[in-house]
Amino acid sequence: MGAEPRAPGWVVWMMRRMMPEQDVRVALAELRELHTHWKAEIGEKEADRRFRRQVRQYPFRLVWQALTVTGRTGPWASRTGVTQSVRSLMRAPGLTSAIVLTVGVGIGGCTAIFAVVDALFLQPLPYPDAERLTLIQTESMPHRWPFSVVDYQALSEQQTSFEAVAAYDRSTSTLTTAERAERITVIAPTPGFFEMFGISPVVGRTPVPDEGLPDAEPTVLVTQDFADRHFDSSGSDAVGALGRTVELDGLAYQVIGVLPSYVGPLGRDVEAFTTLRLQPPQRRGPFFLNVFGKLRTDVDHTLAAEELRAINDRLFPLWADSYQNEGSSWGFQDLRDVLRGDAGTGRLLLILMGAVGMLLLVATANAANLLIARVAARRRELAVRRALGATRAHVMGHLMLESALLTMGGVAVGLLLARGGVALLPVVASSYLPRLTEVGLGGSVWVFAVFLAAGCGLLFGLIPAVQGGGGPDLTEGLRSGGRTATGGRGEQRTQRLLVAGQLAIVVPLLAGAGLLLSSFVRLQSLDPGFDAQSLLSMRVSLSPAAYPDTPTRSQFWDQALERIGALPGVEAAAVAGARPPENLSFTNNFNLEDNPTPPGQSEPSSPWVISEPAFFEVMGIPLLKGRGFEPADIEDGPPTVLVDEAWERRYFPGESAVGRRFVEGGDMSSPMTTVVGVVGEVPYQGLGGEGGGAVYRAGARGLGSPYLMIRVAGDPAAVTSLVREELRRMDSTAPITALATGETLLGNSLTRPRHLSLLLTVFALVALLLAVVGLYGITAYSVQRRAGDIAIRLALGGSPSSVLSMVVRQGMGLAAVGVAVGVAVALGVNRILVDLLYEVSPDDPWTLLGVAALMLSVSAVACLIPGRHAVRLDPSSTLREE
Amino acid sequence: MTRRGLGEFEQQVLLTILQLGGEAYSVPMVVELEGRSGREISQAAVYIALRRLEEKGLVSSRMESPEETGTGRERRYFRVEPTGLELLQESRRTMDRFWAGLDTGMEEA
Repeated sequence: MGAEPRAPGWVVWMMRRMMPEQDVRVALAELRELHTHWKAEIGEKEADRRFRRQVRQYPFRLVWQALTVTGRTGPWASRTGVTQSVRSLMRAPGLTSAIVLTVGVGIGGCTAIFAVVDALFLQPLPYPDAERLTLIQTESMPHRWPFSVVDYQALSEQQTSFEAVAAYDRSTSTLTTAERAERITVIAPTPGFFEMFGISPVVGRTPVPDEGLPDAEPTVLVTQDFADRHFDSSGSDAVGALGRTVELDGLAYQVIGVLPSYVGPLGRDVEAFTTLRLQPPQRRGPFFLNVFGKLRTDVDHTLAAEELRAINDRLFPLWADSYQNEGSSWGFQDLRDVLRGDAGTGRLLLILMGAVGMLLLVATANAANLLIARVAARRRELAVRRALGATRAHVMGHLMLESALLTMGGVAVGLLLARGGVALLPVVASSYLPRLTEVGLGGSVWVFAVFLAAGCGLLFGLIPAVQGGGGPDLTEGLRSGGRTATGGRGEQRTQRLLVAGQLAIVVPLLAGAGLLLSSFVRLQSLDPGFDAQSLLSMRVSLSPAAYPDTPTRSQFWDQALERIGALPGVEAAAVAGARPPENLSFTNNFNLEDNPTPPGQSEPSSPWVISEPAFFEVMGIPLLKGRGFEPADIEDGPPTVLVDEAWERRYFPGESAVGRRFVEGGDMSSPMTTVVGVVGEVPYQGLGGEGGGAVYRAGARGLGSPYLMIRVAGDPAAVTSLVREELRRMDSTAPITALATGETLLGNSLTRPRHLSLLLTVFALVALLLAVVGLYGITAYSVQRRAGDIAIRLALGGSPSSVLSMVVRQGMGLAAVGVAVGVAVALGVNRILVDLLYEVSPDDPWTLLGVAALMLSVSAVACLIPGRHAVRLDPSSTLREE
Repeated sequence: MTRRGLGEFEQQVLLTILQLGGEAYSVPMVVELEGRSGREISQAAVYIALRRLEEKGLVSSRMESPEETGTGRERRYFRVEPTGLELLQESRRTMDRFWAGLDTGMEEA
């Protein structure tokens, strides 16, 4: 060591733009002398560090001085200065609006997406000590599922790692009021739940432990919104709701408390909280309880997890006759992680943020280019200012002020757009993004927007300000003044770099859009496995009080289906517990007789659809092997199922599944179930999703809230009112929900890929427009600058085509570099789309080729226009002007 | 403060020049400022402040070539102009007026 420290190149470059050359030399020389002094005092290493730290302060302090200095000619940041800058920008409305709008759109998009990221990932949960809240589940990786009553009771009695545990069941119930019956989402928590989450009622109280006993009186807490609507008691009148009765599924619940309208993400869309009364369990199952625990402050996570496993291990032999899944255990997750949505949500947001961020970069580069051109056009004005005594810092400060004003305009536009975007989100994207009603423009989102805008403002403002302020000698500026937008070589190089950079960014954006569009088109033309045309569907919910068991429900559906079948326009009708392509009710695990699951491993599971014989005919699902359901399959015969061909391919590849047997649901004491037929594949977890293959059971007419599927002749909408009327005549208290035609169902399933491909296409096209306009601009300026040379060439007999090709070649050279770099970037970046693409590879060569071809063609047009202008130059008048 | 007032750091810079015998360049000024303030001082802040004070006419400077300094490096020496001295004294008088009448027990124990 011992060599003199050097200032980084960028620091010296900035200093040279803002200080006389001599000052730069002296300042750095003296700093090196200080370094020698520090070496003696604090050692070489520390002295080096101090040097690096201090030398980097020069650019920031110089810029700060430029923004705040009060000089002899008056402070730039005075009201006069601001007014002057505003007036100056208003005199260039095209440029001002172009910058404000394009940067504003970018900022707005980024801010809206950040608002979602903030709500889902960054904000703490609105519960006290939220970092200690966990979700406790049964797990057999990679599967996780809720607890049974047996599990929860054992946990409550034996655990010591949690300060508190609570559980709830989330379901839909029929709310019956004087006016009508409707389906609402209800949460039934155990007593102690509200205390654990720090949720206090506005009036009234929370349940006491005795109210959770099996024979306790049914009690309920409702939200303020619910009380407003149903009891007409708002605000301080909420006390009027206490003691009132709410009828849910035919049972009367007494209101003991009114909760605030928002009780955090766990209570989203829920307005009624009935107290969970657990019946003494007869077996270990069903698994429906969502269990939460609040970890003690003095407990290690690993020990808590071990304790859970130990309790499960002790429990297993006690209930082994009803539950044999020895490979399953208990575990817990941070509640915040659970409420974030699946990994797909994070990836989706990342992609959207990346795309709109790229658009913002292109808009910023565009703004920089426009401002560089503007500064170049104002050379004379700036030179006059300098001649009249304005320092370099003054001029820079003035130009930065203009950028600051443009940035503020961009922020205003951006925040407006973000607000609109955030308001639209729950309407548009709720099918694939969770908790959108919690997204808002809170403090951290504003801060993000301001910082983002400041960053953009600095980026697009600094380069032209430094070039305008640190200009060469004054005479050059005074002389060349009127030539408009023609810059020195440094400026030209910067502009060309910016344009090439813009083109490079547009390529991956366009390619991504192209890939998503391609994938969407493939999904759209995917055969859903059922006949979606002329299909009507709805969900009908029977009150458990009026139809308490399978025989009563079957009786209702037998009658209903007969009457509906007789309606004009109806060809056939059936009911089922699930509805393709994405309304799945549940999955079930099973143990194959021919290929049993080894102990300790988790059993396979499949979507489980309760259906009936007529279902397949109504849906247009073909029977491929074996037989369909018969009456014996519904009555007390041995258990039978139908499977689809995907299931057959997966578990019996190359063989027939007909006649094969398995045990359902991990309960080895159950009798064997036999596959009696194979039907066509139909998705129940979304189009293009993982085709695990579905299993069909008979007995749908015994369900309390099945989907009614109706094959109609002609337009489904025409039959809707007839069907509803018929159902109402049979039971006016049974709410009808989820009305949709087959085509609507398919369309809804494609919502996410449709939105994503549309959004990215819009971003990509806007970015392409900006980049191409930038290329046009720079080519046009080049023609203008070289007008004299071109005129001479033409005057001396040069062919117009040679002039044209010269201009186009220059511009296309830039485009080619930009596109080449962009293709390389696209190959790397677009891998992130892999999970969202259906039968399209992220490095699909045709898409990339198409994008490159599109960009080069559009760029050629952008170069041709000024090229033609160059060709049409009149040599004599041009030379005279020169 | 009036338009022609001195900021706190500017006062410290001018006083340091005076403490160093009436003429100084940035290196001993930084060392002196650090010694008197008890914290790290940015040489950039000092140099930029000096040039700013020069623009206001409160200090003047002269260059010394590498041969003249005998160190192989250029230096820029600054001295306080009468207008700068006047402003310094005015700042002191203003502060004295604020401190007048306050119990000396307010000073550090």
